[in-house]
Amino acid sequence: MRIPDSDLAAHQLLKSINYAIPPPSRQCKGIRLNQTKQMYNFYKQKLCTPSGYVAKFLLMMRLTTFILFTVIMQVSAGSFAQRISLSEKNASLVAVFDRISKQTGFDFIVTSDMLKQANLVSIRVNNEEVSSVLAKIFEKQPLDYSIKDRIVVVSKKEKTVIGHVVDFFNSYTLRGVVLNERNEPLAGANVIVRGQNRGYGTLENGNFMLEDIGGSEMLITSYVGYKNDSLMLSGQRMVTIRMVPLSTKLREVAVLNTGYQKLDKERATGAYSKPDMQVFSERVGTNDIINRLEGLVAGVAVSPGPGGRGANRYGTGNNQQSVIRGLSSVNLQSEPLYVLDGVQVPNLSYINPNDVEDVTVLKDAAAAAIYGAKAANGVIVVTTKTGKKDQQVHINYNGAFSFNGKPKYNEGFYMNSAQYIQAAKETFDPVAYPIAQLSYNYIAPHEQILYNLNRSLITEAQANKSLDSLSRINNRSQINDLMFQNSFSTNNTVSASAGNRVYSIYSSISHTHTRSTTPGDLNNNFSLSLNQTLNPSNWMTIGLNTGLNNGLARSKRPVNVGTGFLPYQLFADDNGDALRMNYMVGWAPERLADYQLRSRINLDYYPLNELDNGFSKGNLLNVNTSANVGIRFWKGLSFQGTYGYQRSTGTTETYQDISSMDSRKELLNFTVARSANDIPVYYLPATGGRFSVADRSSQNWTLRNQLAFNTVLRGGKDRINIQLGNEVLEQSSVLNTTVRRGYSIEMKTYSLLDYVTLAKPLFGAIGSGYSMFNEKPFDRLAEKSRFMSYFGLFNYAFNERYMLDASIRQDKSSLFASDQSAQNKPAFSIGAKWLLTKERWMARQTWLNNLGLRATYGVTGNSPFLGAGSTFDILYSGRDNVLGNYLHVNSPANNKLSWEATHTWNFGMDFAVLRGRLTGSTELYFKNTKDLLGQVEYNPFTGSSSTRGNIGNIKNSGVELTLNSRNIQDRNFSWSTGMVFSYNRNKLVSYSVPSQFLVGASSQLGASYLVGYARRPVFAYRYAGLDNLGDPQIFKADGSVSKEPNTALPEDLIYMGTGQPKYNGGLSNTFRYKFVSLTANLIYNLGAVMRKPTENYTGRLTVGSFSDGNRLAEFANRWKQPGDEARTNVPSYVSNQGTNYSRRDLSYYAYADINVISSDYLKLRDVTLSFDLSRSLLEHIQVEKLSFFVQTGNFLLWKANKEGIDPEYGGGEKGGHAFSLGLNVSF
Amino acid sequence: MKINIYRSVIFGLLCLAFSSCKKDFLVIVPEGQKVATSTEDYRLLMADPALALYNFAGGWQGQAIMGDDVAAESSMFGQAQLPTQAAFRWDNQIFRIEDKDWTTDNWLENLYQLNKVINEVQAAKGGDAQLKDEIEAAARASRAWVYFQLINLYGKPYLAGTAATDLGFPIILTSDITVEQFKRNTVQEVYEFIIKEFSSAIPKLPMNPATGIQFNKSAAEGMLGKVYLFMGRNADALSSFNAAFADNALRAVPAKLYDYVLEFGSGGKFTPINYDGPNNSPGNNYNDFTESLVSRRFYNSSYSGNGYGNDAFVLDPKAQTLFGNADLRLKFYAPEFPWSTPNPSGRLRKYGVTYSAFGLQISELYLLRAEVKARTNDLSGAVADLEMLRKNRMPAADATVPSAIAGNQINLIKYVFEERIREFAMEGYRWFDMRRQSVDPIFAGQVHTHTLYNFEAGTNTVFTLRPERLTLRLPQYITDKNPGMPNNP
Repeated sequence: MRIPDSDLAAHQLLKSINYAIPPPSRQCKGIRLNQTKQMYNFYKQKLCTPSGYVAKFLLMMRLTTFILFTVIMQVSAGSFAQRISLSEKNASLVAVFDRISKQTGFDFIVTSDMLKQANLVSIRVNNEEVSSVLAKIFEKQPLDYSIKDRIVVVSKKEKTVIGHVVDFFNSYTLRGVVLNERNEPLAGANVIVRGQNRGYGTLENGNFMLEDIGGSEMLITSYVGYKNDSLMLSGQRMVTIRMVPLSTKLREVAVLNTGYQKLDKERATGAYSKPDMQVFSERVGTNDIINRLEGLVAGVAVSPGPGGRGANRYGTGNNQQSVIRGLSSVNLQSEPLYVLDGVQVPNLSYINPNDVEDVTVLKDAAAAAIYGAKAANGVIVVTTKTGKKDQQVHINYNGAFSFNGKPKYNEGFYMNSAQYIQAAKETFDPVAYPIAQLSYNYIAPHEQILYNLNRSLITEAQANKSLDSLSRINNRSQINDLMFQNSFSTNNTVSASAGNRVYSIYSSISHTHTRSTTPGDLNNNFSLSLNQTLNPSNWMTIGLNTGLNNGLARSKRPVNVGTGFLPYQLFADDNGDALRMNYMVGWAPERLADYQLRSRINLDYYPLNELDNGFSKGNLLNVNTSANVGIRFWKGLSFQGTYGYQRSTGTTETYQDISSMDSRKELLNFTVARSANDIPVYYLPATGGRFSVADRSSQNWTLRNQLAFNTVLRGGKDRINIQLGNEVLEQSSVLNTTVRRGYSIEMKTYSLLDYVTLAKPLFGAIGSGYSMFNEKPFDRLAEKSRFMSYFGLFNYAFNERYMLDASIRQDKSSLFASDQSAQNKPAFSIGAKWLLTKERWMARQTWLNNLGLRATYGVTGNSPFLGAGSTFDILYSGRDNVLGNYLHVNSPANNKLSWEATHTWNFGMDFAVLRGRLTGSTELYFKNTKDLLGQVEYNPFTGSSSTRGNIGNIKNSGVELTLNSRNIQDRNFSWSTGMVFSYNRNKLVSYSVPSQFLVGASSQLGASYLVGYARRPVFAYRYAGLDNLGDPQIFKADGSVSKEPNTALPEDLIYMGTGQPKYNGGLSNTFRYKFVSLTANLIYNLGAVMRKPTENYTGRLTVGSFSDGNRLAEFANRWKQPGDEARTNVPSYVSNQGTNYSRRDLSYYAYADINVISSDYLKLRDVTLSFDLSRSLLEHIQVEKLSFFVQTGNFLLWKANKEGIDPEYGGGEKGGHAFSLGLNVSF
Repeated sequence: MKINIYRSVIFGLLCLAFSSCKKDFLVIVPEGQKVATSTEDYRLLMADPALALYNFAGGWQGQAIMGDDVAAESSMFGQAQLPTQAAFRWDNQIFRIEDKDWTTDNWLENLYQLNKVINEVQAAKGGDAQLKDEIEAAARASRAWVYFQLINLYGKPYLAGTAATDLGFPIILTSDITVEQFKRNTVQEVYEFIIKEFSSAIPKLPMNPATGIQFNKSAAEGMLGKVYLFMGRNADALSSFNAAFADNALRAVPAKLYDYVLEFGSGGKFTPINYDGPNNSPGNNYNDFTESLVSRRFYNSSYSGNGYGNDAFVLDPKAQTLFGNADLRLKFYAPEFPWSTPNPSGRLRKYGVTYSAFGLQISELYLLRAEVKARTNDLSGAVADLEMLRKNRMPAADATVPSAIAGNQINLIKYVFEERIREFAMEGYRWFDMRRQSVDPIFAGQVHTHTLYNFEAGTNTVFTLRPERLTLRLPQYITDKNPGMPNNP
C-alpha cells in the first residue's frame, strides 16, 4: 500500500475500512490513457483490474498474512522472491493476469484498448519468478509493462529501436550519498534499482554510483538497523538518501518531551534519559511499564513494589517500584512522579505498553524542577502514540505470549524428609513439652508418633516403621502439581493510525490475559485507546487522548504452601482425593474433638478442598482523558493548554463460604455450648458466607495553562523561549466497603446482625473463651488533596553553542491546611550547556563528532503525604459499638512542616566519536536533600513524644554513563552494544537525635536507617564462634568474647554495608544478520549486602503453618556435642526456651558478620531472537512490517554468594525462566 | 484580520482564566478526620475511650508487678520483657535508654487532649453554657485523676512536713508540642492542684453522664476523698466519701457490688469457670460498669507484644494465706501457668481478669471509707463498710470481721489493708498502699520482699525493696529531653 498520493490513500482508507464503496465494474469503459508517465493520474481516475479491485485484494492478503507468515519462515531466505506456476494454452491475456494475480497478489492495470490488441498466451512454467514469467508472457505481445509497487502497468510498445537508442543516449549515471539521521555517511548500504535486479553497496564515504539510469526508476536503499528507504527518481543526477533508524537506541533522539515542553535534545541542559524502545517493546514477559525499563536507563533502579514482586499499592497488578538516583527520603515515597501525556498520574499500571511511543526520564533539577514539590525523586514521562499528519492508514498487530511456569525451588535449602525426621528424633523433648501442655498447639504426624512412643502407646518398632515411611516421602512434586499452576500471559493489541492535513488518529484495542502461579487466579485486561489530533486551522492544534482500561481479576482460596512447609506431608492420596490434615487447625486432637462435639461444627480440615471455599472478583475501570490545545497568536506568542481527567472505579467482591476452615473457626469463636448436651447457640450465621463488596473510586484532574513566547533574533544567533503558566491539580479517592454475613450466593439473602450485642464480650464461646465482634458492616475511607502552582520556563541559545535553561515553580498544597507560609519555597533550576563541537576551532578535527558540556543546579521538592502536618489538631472520628461515637486527637497541631527540598548539582557530557559510531553521555550529580521529614522527638511532657518534623538531611551522589556503540556495521551484519552504568552513594548525614528505639544493638540491627550511614544499613555482630555448649559468642568492642544475652551495645556492632545496590545497570548487545537479530540484555546490581537465611530455632521442631515447619538444611549441621564448635557455626538446639533465653542469645548467630553475604549478581534478563522481515520480501504480501521474536530470560549468570542464593528471591525460591513469543505485523 | 480578532478574544479570556482562582481552594479538611470547632466536638473528645481504656499497655501494669502481693516463677521470668523483670526486682532504672515508658506516655497523651478541651471548649461554637461547663468539669476531673496517678509514681509519698520541697511532676496546662522545657513542681503543689481541679469540677459535673468512662459527680467526690486520705486529711476524706456514697445512690444506675455468692452460684453470671477463669466477670469485659463510679481499665494479662505482661507472676504465698477458704475471690486464681498449663508448685495465678479496673470502684470506696472511719475511731462504722463488701464476696457466715479486730483500731486499720489485698491482689493497688504505709507510723519498719521461685527448691531469689524505690525515677528518654531537671535518687 505504498502509493504516494494522499488522496488515493484516503480513498483506500475508506474502502478498506468501510467497504462502502461499490466495486468498480469489471468492464472498463472509456478509459482515457494519455501517456505512460501519467500512470498515477490514470490510476486515480479509474481503476480496472482483471481480478476485482485492489482493496478487496488487499483485505484478503491481510487475512492470509498470518498463514503466510509461518510458511515463509520455513523456507530459506534465498527463495523469498515470489514464484508462480502457470500452465495455459491459448488463454486470453486477461485470464493469465487473473491467475498471476491470484497466485502473487500483483495487480494489473491495463486498458480495454490494449487488451484488444493482445495476443493469446500459451505458457508453461513451474515455480518461476514473477519477473521472468512476465517477461515470457510479454515477449510475444505488442505490449510493454513495468512493475511499480506490486502493480503491473501494461503499456503499448511504442518505442522503436530508435526510441531505445534515444533512451540510451538519454540515460545517465546517477551519483548519490547515503547518510544516517545525523547526516553522517553510511558505508555498506544497499542501493537497488527496482525491477532491474541490480544494486550497489555504498563506499566508506557513503557514496554510490549507478549507471544507465533512465530517470524514472525507483531506488530502494536498505541498511541493517534502519528502515528501508524508497526514492522515486525524477531525472535528478545527484541524490541524498537519509536513513531512519529502526531502534531508538541507534538514534540520538532529537526531541525531548518533558510534559511541559518539547526540547531539542542538543540544546537541553538537563539530565534526560530514554530507554531503548526496541528492548522495551520486546519485554513482553511483563506488561508493567516500569518493569520494562530495568537496566535500560542509567540512574534508574527497578525493584519489587511495596506489595512484593508483581503487586502495586492496591495489591493488584504488577507495578514495580523505581528509584531514580538513590533514596533521597527516609519517610516519604521514593518513587518518581509519573506523567502520562503531560498529566500527573498515580501510577502507570493500566497503560498498555504497546501504546507507548516514548519514555523520558527526568533526573536532575534542570529537567525535573518544573514539576516542583513532587520532583525530587525524578520524573518518568510517558507519551502515547498518536497518528501522524498526512499519513496513510497503518494497521498494526502485536501479539505476545509469555510462559513463566511454576515456582522454582532451591533444592537442598531446607532439610529433606529423611534429614527432617532424623532431626525431629534428635530434638524431641517430652519433658520440656509434655503433650498435656500442647492442647493449643500443632502436633505434626511425626511428633504424634514420637509422643505415642513416649507414652508407650506404640512400640519402638511401630514408631520406627511409621517414621521411616514418613522419611521416604517427598511432597515437593505433589505440592507443585496440586498447589500451583503454570503461569503465563498473553497480549494482543491491534492498532490503527492515519492522518491527513486536519485530522490524525491513533487507536488501539488490546487484551491481556495473565495467569499467576496461584491456582484459581486469573487476570484479564481490556484496553482501548483513541488519540486524536485536530488542526482546524494553521494556528490551532487540538489533541484528545482517551484511554479506557478494564481489568478483571479473579481468585480463589487456595492454601498457600511456602517453601518451608513440612517436607513429607502430602495433600492428596493415590486416588487424588484430598487428605485430611486436622492437626493444621492448631489444636490437639482431644481439644478439637471436644470443640466439634459441643459446637456440632465439623472441624475436619482438607486443605486441598479449600480452593473453592471462596472467591474474590475484581472489576476495575479506568478512564483517562487528556486534551491539549495549542494556539499560536502572533509572532512567536502561543498558548498551550493541558487538561487531564482521570477516573477509576473498581469493585471487588469477596466471598468466603462458611465451609472454609477460617470461617468455621470464626463461627466456633461465636458459638456457646457448655456441654455436649447443650444445643449450641450460634451468634454468627452458621450458613452462607461472608460477602464483602469494596467499591473504590478515584479521580484526578489537572488544568494547566501556559503562555509561550518563542523568538529567533539576529538571524538565528539568539533563540529565546519563555513560558509562563499555572497548574491546578486535585486528587481524590474514596473506598466504601460493605460486609454481609450469612450471605447466600444463590438466594442473594443475608442475615441481619445485632452489631451492638455482638460488640459486647461473648463469654463461654467455644474456641476463644470469650469473643468480641467489631466488624464494621460499612466502612468508608476518603482522601483528597489539591495543588496550585505557578511556573515559568526560560530557554536561551546563543550562536547555537551556548545554552541557558532556567525554570521556577511555586507549589501550594492543601496538605498543609491553611498555613501556607511554610510553602513559600519555590522550586527552581538553572542550567547551561556548551556545544564545543560547534566552535570554529573545533571544526577542523574529525574524530570528535559531537561534544557538549552541561552543568545544572536546582531545587526540587518531595511533598509529604496527606495529613502529615496541620496547623490544627487533626481529630480522628471513631465509633465504639458500646460507648458510641468519639473523637481522638490523631495528630497534634504541627505547623512548621514543609516539604523536603533536594538541592541538585549535575554535570554532564554528551559525546559522539568515530563518525557517530560511539555515542554516549555521562553524568555526575550531587543531591543534597534537606528538611527531611521524620519523626521528631519532642519533649515527652508535651504529650506527643514524637511527631513529624523537618529534620536532617541525606546526600546522594553518583555517576552515570550511557554508551551506545555500533561495533560492526556491514551490509548484512551489524553488532551494536548499549551500556548503562550507574553508581550511587547515599548517606544519611543527620536525622535529629536518633529515635530511642534505634539506640540498642538489637534495634540497630533492624533499623532501616542510621545517621552517618547509607540508607538500609546492615550491621552485624563480630562472630566469635560457638562455645562448648554450642552457644553463639561475639567479640565485643573491647575485644572480649561474650555470649551473655541482651548485653550487646551498638559499639559492639560492625557496619557491613548497605542493602541498596551502589552500582547497577545493564549491558545489551544486538547482533543482526539480514533480517535476523539477536539481542541479549544483561542487568547487574553490585555493592550491596544481605543477610543469609540462618537457622536459629528453639522450642519444638514442629509445624506452625503451611509456610513454616521445616528448618533450613544447616540445622542438620548444628552443634551436637562438645568439640563440634571446632567444626560448625550453627548453634546447638536447646529445647527449653527458658534455658535458651537465659543462657544465650541466638541472634548473635543470626546477625553475625559471617552470615552477611554479598547480594551482587549479574543476570541475563532477557535474550531475544527476532526476525524482522525486510521490505523487499514484504512487498509481495502487502505487509509493511512483519517481525516476530522468541525470548527467554532470567539467567543468573553470576552471583557473589557461595550459598546458591538468588539475591532477587533471597532463599528457598529462585527465579524461573520465562519464555516468550511475539509477533508484530503492520499493514 | 478576522482570525486575529478570534485569537485576541481567546487570548483575553485566557488571561482572565489565569488570574481567577478561589482563595480557599487549598483549604480542605480530609473526610473522616476533622478539626474541633463545635461544643459537640469537645463532648466527643471526652467520650474518647483512649482516656479510660489502656487496653494495650499502660495503666498500672508496672505497679501490679511492683506490689509485694506478687511473686514470680523463674521458668517464665527469664522470658519476660526486661522492664518487667526490672520492675519486679525494684531496679533503679526500669527502662533502658531505648525503651519507652508506655504508662507515662499514655497519661501525657491524655493530658494533651484534656488540656485542649479545658482551654478551648468555652470558645466552641454552639452548645449552651451548662453543657460547656459540664464538658470542662469532666476534663478537669479526668486531668486531676491523671495527676493523682503521676504524683504517686514520681513524687515521694505525701508527707505534710516535706511535701512542699519534695519534687513532684510538672504541672502541664497547655496542649503544645513545641514547648521545650518543663519544670518539676513540688508534691505539695501537685496535690493542691489535684484538689483544686476536683473541687472546681464537682459542682458542675453531671450525675449521669452518657457512659461509665466519664466522670460523674460521685466519682469525683470519691476521688477527692482518696486524695485527702493519701494526704492524711481524714476528716476531709470522710466527708467526701460520704458525699460520694450519697450522690452515687442518686444516680440513675448507681454503682453496686456484684454478689459473688449469687454470681458464682448455679446459673450465675460468672459461671462456668473455664480455662480463662470465671466467665462473664467484669475483669473480662471492660465495658462492664456495674461496680465502677468511674471506669478506668488497663490490660493486666499475658504479654501481648506491648507493655509488661504478667505471665511470670503468681500470688505471693504470704498474700495467699490472707484468704479464708470460703472467700469466693479465690475463684479468680488457679495453680496454673498461662495457657492452662498446670503449675505443680500450687502457687496461684490470677486469671479471668484480663482488664483490671482502677478508676474508682465501689468496692474500693467501701474500703477507703472503712479505713478513714477506723482512723477517725468510728470502728463500728468501719466494720459495717468492711462487712458490706465482704458479704458480697463470700458466704455471709464467713463475712463477719473477727471481734478481736473489730474492737481494736490499729488491728482494724491493718485488717482494712489486708482486705484491700484480698480484693485487689495483683492489680496494682498494693503499690500505692505500700507507699502510704511507708509514711504511716502504724506500719513503721515494714520490709517488702519479692520472691523469685526457681524450679529447684531452696534456690529462690529474694529481692528487698529499698525505700527510695517507692518513688520511681523518671525514664531516661524524658530526662534527656529536659536537661537540668533533677531526677529522683
